[in-house]
Amino acid sequence: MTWLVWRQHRQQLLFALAALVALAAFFVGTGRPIHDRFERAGLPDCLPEAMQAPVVVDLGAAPGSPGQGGVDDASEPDTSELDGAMLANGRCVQEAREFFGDYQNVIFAGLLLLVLPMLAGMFWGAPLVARELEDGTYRLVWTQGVSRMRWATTKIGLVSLAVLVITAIYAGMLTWWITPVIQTSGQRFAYIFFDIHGIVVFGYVLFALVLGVFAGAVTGRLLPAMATTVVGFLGVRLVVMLAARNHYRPTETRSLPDLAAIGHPTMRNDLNGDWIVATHARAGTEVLTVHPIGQFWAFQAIETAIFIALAIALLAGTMYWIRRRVD
Amino acid sequence: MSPALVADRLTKRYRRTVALDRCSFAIPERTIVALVGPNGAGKSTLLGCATGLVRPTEGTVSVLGAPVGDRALPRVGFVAQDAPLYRNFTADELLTMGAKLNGDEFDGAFGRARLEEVGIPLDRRVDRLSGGQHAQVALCLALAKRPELLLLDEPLASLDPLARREFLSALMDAAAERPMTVILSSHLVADLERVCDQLMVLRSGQVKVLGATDDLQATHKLLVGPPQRRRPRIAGVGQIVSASKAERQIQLLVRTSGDIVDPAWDQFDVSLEDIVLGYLAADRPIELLDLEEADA
Repeated sequence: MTWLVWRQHRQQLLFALAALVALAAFFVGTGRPIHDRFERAGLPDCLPEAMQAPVVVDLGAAPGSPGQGGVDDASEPDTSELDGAMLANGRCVQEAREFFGDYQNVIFAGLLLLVLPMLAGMFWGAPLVARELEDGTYRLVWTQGVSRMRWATTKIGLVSLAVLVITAIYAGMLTWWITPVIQTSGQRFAYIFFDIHGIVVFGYVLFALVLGVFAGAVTGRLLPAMATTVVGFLGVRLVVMLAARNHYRPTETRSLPDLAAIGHPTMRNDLNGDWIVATHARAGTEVLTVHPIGQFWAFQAIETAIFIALAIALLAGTMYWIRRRVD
Repeated sequence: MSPALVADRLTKRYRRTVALDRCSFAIPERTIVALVGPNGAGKSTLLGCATGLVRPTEGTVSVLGAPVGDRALPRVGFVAQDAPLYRNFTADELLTMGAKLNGDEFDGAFGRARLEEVGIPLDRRVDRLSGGQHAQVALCLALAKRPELLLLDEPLASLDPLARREFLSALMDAAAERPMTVILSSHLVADLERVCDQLMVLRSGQVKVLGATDDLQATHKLLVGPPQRRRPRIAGVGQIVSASKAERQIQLLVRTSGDIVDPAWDQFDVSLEDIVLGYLAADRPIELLDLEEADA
């Protein structure tokens, strides 16, 4: 059985490995300058501390005008009253903003990465059963000594394993590549970042793959199965992303210190990456409703679990259809 | 002999049509059965039921003493209609696949030797083979499984006369070499007359006749006699299978129950094809009823 899976899918595997090599070249080629610049700016050293500060001095603004950046007509802001740590954090945040400003265009690459899991569903999942049904070869392979259920479990199991290994390699490369941008963005929870790194990618890939297999087993036709995979994957992803994710955990509120008390232009520091759901002004200070960054992995785990659960449900449906599938 | 395949009130209904209608029969072991019927008679459905590819609506079918399913499949060889094969595999790879998907009884060496015998290069991809070679590879793959029951669905349909001959002689060699039951379906009995020893006629989902070809030929006669106003009663005739009218006489295909000595009727031996055509025409069993009108 293993031999048959290898023989039938080796071409797809080679293709996937070639795609991985191309992606690796892209990640290394574009990632090296990003990392060089990240390190030259001293960000790896200062960010861990600077990220924690709820507010930082706004080094781009003039003294004496607290709040959101006054217009500066003096040449140099007076920073003498500020203590060293506060100054360092302010400088670090400034650097991070500039860095992110220069590299935020990687988001466009990120957009492409959003749909990568879908390709696994279209090109690995959908043909798995659909092609056998379409070509009639199911009548060959389902009448051999190996039972239909063992055929299905071995085939789906091995292909899933291969896809997960490829995903792991991909996710490793991507994480290295995008970490500087995510750290300086303060938007680790943002759709574009949350959805392309961490463990959710594994959930998405498994879901897309099994969705493709399921659609193929039900429709018995390759193109409708591929189309179903695209529509189903994007639909479920959007619903979960836009409607469900916000409710994984209760929000928390966080009050910022009184900005006026610092005596220098200050700004809210969003670098820590909290998911800010809402802001209110209350008695001169800002109150934020947030999903704190500390919950990031809980969110990732919940989202991954949702997609794995969906994949398991679809797998059960696939098995049912393959068992029941008759002329 | 215990039967190789037993159907009991086997019924398969599709949304609008009935493919098999309460078929009950038993196919004796170690016979070669020609399963004959027009397109849509239910031949493929019947073979599908025997391999588990078709689920009966009602009734049961068992093969080699076991219900159809994972337990029976290792002992059944099957070549589906159009002989589906993985087209980008070589013949050699298909035999490797057969060995991987079946137990130790799968005889890859036998399969390779057979293919070399019929001159099919093992390293050529299936989609580069001729239609006849394609069918030979499919047969070889099924034979290498060393099945006790071999089911072939329209194996000759796409083959030219020479390829048909080669296919059938390959099949006969294999059947002679090792005891097995073979069921071949076709819409033409002439294709199979040379090889089969049992005939099964299927029409509109029903088994019209099943028996050894010798017996069937011995017990069926063509009677030619004068036009009749009523259904004739002839001593020695058990069943009038079909009737047809010519200018001044009628022809009856009958199943005999004894010797026919009635001098009003000339009797002739029939070919297997005559028997098949008679049973296929038997949906309107007695056209004699039209005779009065026609004569009037």
